[in-house]
Amino acid sequence: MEDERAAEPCRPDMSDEDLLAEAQAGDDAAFHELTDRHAQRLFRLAFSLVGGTVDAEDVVQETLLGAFEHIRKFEGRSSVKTWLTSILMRQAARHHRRRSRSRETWLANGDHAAPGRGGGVREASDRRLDVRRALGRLSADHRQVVVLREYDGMSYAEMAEVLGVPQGTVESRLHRARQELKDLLRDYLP
Amino acid sequence: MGGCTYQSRLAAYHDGELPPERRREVQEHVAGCPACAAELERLRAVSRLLQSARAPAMPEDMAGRLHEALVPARERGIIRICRAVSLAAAALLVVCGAWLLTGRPDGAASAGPLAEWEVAAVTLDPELAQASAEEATALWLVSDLSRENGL
Repeated sequence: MEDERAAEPCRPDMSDEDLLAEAQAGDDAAFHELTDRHAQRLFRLAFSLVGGTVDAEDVVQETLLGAFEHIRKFEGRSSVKTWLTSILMRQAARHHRRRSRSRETWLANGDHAAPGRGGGVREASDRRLDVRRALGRLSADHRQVVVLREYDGMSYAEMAEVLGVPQGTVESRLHRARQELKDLLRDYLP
Repeated sequence: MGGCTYQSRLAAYHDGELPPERRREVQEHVAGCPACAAELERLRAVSRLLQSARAPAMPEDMAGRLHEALVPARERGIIRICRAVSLAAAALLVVCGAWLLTGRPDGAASAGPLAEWEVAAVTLDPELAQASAEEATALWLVSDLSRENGL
């Protein structure tokens, strides 16, 4: 039953904000609907931030539980997407701090490459692994802006809101992060 | 590579963050500046590389686990509310108990003299107080009947 509900949205015509208002009034099903809407996006962000499927699931779960428990504190000053993303950023940073072995996690969980396949596939999976390693070598601040920009397509203003920093800080972090990536991935660049 | 004043705007151009006029201006500049064109191409190449390493999709059974995790969270919330209500009730009980044990506060003491009927209700008749139980019952009956008969 849970899976069926997860697969098909019950109230597709309702906005996130309307669903959140219902959830604040005690309608748990509305929060489950929000979970279904945002889980995939949150998972991809979490994976890019912490570098592994299991860790990413933990971060998403902590994010949604945190949101659920503090749902009445949401005042609607930002969008639900921004609110959930900012909680995810904090949870991912906490997760990262908790796990001193996070860099090893990055190296261990980077890819699902199938060994023994053709050269092109192998080359692509090697490249994917190298890119994920490079991302994992960035500082948490730099990784956040790269992930939000490149994988979530957020604007500078949205990133500033999510991270709670001025837009100028976002731009300078993004600039430095890209400089680092250009250096780490120089073999793949023109 | 360095030195061109447009270099600092390339990232914003690449990210689509420039207003239309500025965007056109940078576009025209890049067309005639090999250094900026090369830098822009590197920015695009980094983005392409990152796109090639996108995160995999969420595991199929993860949605169900997320929903299951939210149920105990609701129960925890209810338990927290019950605990808060119990604490408030216990605190109220302690305050009332203390009030009853230590006597009425000043406000109650200065409530003024008691009405006559209140005094009469709790004060024993001197005769009744000194009588034995049987005598007391007889005296009480007599006084009660006297009152009824208007004597």
